[in-house]
Amino acid sequence: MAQTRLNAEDLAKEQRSISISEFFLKNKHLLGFDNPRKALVTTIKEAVDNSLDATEQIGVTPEIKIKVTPVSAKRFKIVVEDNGPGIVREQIPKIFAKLLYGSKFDKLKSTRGQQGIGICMTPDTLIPLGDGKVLPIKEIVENNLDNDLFVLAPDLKLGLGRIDRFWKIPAPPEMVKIKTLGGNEIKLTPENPVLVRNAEGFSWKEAKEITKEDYIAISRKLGTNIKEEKIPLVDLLNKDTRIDNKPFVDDLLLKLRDKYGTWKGVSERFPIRVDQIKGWRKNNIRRRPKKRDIELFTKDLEISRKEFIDNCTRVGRLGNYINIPKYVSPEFMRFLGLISGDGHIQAPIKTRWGTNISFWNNDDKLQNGFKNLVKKLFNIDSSLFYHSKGRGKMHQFSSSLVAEILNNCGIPSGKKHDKFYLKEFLQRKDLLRPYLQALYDCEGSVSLERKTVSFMIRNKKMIKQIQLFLLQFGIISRINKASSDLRIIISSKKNVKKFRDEIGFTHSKRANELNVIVDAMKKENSKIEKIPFVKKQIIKLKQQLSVPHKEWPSPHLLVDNKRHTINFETLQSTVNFCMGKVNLKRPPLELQELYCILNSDVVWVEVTSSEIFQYNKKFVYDLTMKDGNNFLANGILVHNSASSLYAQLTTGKPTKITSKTSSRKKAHYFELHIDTKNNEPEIIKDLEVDWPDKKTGTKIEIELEAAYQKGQRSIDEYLKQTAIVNPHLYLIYRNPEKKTIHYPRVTNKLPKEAKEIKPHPYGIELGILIRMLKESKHKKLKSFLMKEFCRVSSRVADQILEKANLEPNALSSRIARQQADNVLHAMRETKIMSPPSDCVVPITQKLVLKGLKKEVDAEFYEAITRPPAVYRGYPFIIEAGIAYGGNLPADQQVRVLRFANRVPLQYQPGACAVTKGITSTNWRQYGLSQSGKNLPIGPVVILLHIASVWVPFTSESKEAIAQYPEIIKEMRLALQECGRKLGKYIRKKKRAQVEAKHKSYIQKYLPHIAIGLKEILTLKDTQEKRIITTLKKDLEKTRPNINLDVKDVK
Amino acid sequence: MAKKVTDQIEEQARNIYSKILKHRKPKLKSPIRSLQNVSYDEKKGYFELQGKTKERTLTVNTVKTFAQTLRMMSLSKQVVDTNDIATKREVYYVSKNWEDAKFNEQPESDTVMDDVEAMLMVNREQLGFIPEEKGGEIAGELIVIDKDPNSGEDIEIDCTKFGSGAYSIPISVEQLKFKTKAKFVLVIETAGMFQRLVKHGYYKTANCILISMGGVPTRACRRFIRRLSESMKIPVFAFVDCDPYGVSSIYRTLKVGSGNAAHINKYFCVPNAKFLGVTPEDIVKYKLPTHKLKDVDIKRAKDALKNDPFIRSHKEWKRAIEQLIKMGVRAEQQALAAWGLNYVIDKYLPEKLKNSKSWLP
Repeated sequence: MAQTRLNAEDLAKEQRSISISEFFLKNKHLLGFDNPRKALVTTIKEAVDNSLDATEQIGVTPEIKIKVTPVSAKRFKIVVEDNGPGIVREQIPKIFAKLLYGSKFDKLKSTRGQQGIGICMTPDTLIPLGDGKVLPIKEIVENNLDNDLFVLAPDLKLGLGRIDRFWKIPAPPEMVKIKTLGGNEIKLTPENPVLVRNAEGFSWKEAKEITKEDYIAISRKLGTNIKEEKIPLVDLLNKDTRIDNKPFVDDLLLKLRDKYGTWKGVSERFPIRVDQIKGWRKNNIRRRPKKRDIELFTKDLEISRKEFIDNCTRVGRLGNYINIPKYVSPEFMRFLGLISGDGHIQAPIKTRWGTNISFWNNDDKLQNGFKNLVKKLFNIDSSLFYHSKGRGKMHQFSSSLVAEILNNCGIPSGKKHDKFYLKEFLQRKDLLRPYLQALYDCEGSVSLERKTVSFMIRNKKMIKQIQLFLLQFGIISRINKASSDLRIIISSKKNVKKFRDEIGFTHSKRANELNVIVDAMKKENSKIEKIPFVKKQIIKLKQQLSVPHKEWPSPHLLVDNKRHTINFETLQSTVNFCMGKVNLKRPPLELQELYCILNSDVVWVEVTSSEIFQYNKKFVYDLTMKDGNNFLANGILVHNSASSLYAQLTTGKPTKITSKTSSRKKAHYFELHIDTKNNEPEIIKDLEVDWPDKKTGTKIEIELEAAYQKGQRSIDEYLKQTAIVNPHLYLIYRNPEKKTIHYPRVTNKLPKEAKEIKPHPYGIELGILIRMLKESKHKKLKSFLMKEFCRVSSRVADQILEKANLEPNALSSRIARQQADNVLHAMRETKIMSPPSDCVVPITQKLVLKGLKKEVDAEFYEAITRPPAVYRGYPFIIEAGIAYGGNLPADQQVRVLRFANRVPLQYQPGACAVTKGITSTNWRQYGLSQSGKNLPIGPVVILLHIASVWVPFTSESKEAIAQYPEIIKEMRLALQECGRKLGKYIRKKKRAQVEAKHKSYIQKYLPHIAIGLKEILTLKDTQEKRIITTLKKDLEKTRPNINLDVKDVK
Repeated sequence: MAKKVTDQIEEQARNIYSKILKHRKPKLKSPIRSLQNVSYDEKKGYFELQGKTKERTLTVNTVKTFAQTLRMMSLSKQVVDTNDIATKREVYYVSKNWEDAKFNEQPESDTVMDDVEAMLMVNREQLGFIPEEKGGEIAGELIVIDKDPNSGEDIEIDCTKFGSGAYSIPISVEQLKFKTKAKFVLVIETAGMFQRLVKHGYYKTANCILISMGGVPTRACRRFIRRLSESMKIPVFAFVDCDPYGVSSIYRTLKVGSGNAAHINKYFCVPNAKFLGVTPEDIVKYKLPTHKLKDVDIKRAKDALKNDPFIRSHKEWKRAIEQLIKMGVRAEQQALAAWGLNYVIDKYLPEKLKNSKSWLP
């Protein structure tokens, strides 16, 4: 093969850095969450795939040695050695990820493996932290915040758990949005499991599979661990704010001069000039030091922070000073609440002339309260104004400093509707109480009719925040949407009462109304506090307890009708009743379950919608918990990213890599370990070693927790199948039972190298298109289309643009979502040539046949390679192989070997296009028995291989091929072609069997003819024998001879 | 006669043997035994074989039956030579010695036996093989003269002296002689009806001989009635259920023989038998309770109309069966009990016997 030899350095340039996170993300799917058997297969699989890719890329026929040795009952050492190009040191961390990751997913190239995405959520998902803060996940991940999250324990109680790892992953094109009856909403990757309860009980269900029949878990209350630390208000000031406290400043300065000798000495020590110091010492109101300066001075003089705070209570700029409280106080929070609710801050902040801050409300009591509050907090007088058009009245005062403080608390200037967001350090239960009270005083309302407390705001982010705030007080609320307004509603006696007791209104009218509705309410639980799917348990309990029907507290529960939800109270009385009837040392399981549900910290709410949407942001985020396997996100319990393999890989032992990049150089021995903080691999050892008898190559040693099993989905089977589809591979495998298996090479020819192609317009999805538009180097839309896609000529690009109604010179980075959608449709409607197929590399018919013959012991083999075909703009080639007879079991379903780009697929056969292709083929006509649309039965092994630039897997676990009709059709055609030849052979074989049976008949019965004749005619023995020989000769002359030679069949 | 059978067997065997030696394909020829290959001549009064024969050439496919046929012939020769007999069941057990050529079930051996019988155009008994089933029961004004099996002396059996029991027709009836003053023979399908008539001494009041067939009459039974009616010159009346089975299987076999044994029908039939009842007309006339015809009954009736040469050659029967199909019902002998248990004795039989127009041929 005339191929330029690459070396390790060349390859290194091409390696794409893949984060460890991505690697795990991919693998945890393959692994399930804790399947040690899969772990073994996955690890070896990735190593082998990587070795194959590496050797093929440099044009060497691969020779791979694998050794799996048990270290203890659950621990194995894996050694994988290849004759590839070796790895250079700089690339080790990346390769380590790639080693087990195995693909370059930004290029459309037919190599092994493919893209990976996982369990994640959108960056704005709100996560309540243990200390009461509520933060978007993006902030938690990007700042690696070391904090506790809420975790649901198996007894359905929420506890706190530590975060172990942070994930930031390239986003998939599609995400799932789940909404609940309570107004909770979350956007997740389709694979992210969420805790649900349905007719089958509890389960973790992947987001994409959640339906309206499911109830999902939301938290009932959050117990926070508040740090009773006071928050100094001075921290909320900008650094350039001046502090007006001349005695304190004088004192500081004198102390500094004592310390550094002269003023000059002081000015040299700090970034200040001598004349500045002199100015501060004069009693000029405009000359005051900045907060930054005071901070530096106090630190230098080792003056306590408390003293600093105590002395920074009069602050300002340009000679205008206001008082501020020392710490964030309930009054201050109330002020924030009032401004959040009905306030307005003039934008932009004008430092010179002050910034107007106003409070609009028609309630006099509130207005007065505001006025007093401002006076008390800042010693500022505000004045009352009436709106010129009679739209109400306001108190207004002017202070840019207060505006700054407000901004720093998360309350922006100008229109606050869409930006508003209370800063996390203020999200403490003790501070939230006055804040919420003020908010509700402004915007809250009590509906006597509906018996609810509601709160209206247009800010979507804020409303979710408030919902979580309320949750900290154990108040469950739901969100209603009415046109552009969002309303957060508190209903049911329990919740409203809690609201009254914990927060309440200062507004006397509303406070009265609140009392009225609390008293009037009989219903203890809100609509959402019903408990679903517990009837089964109750009915079972009833059967076990043998209590007469009449005595049962709520007999209507025993009717198993369609209504599966049960009132909280009713359940409580039932459970209490049962508790009195059972032996509490060993209560029935059902009772335990009901008890847990009753006393749990979660509520089950109906899913109102679950839909897939196009997602075009770049990243998604997730967390892995140290304790527990879940956490609360947007109030909903979601499963965390698993870390099982991670734990397994880091069984304490570092990964060892020996690499030799040239026969002239010495080999390198590396030891790798993973820095858990950053999720980055780190080289902890690098030695030069001798590796004699080796030209180039890599050896990897990993120790992991795993399980070794034989059978269908074992590592043995995986390697065997790999050998079938990689006939150029020489594989030596030593299994944990110390048996060495050789898989010899049957060809020296390397598979043709795949060519890269650009994506074809038919195969692109909206999310990807939008991302491509944003990231493209080609600024103009037309050149973007021509350069980023294959088969798009100038003429085709014009056609697309015309249909999409866009200008060729439009800037591709400025294309809006709707326009991108138009482009997408235009592309689908435009006739575009099929993509070139030379980017797809088949194994070839001859080699499939050889591979099958090598590893399957049969009597008849047939293989076929179909011509290239196209699905959704992706070219692909189907290859099929059939082995029949021999030692294969005849009374079982045929064995199916599935391959995608030369990688064996071992899981999820039912969902796979391969299975569909086989079952939708009529095998009866080819001589196999097949009932209905099932797999046929017979001594047959069927091999199907799809080679494509983009194999459409059903899920990220890459275990099954999606059932595109084009693919299934090609598979069927391939199978039919093989099947016809198989049928011919089977028919011939059957004829031969019949013939053999006939011939045995002659043997069997001729003697009896002779005996009969001998007895009747009293013949001699010689005559008898003559009859037999004569007849035999005559009869056998008439029979055909059937030749079963395979070549004859072909 | 016995000599003749063994000669025939030897002749067939020699024929086959010589063909084998000449490298020619040996063949076995026998008449086809089915209704398709019989003709009915009213004058002769029985089913007669037509010329159709089947030839079994020795090939790979026929080698098994060929071997079994030869071994069956050999067995027959052996039995006849030693003046012994073997029941059909015994033959089946003998074959168990034939290793690969053995029969798995008795019907297989019966079929081969029937083939040999037809091939040689002889009676099964002539081959030395006898059936298991009994021939039928007799009560009434008849003295059967048989020979004592030990002494060989004549013994007279008075068929009125069996009380509530009856005389059983032996398997071989050729040696029997009769003495009777009875006016007719009444052949009855069911043992139940027979019992009733015996119990009430009907044979005395009507001066007749009662014979119970118990379903399709055996060869011995048919031969007995034939010899009795011919030697004593008395008429025979059949009294069976009114359904396709009673007519086309029981009565027709009694009168003209069966398709299966067509080669020997000449002896084993009673051509002068008449069908007394129950006729389809009787169902109407006596308002008998009925049952619906089953699908198999209808099929059998239609088949008889189409294929049975006996039914086809009698307009009366055609009409009767068509009527039966049209009515879609059947009636049993015992249905007469609906009008009183002894209605059959007091009213039905006397009326029917008087009215010869109500009979069917």
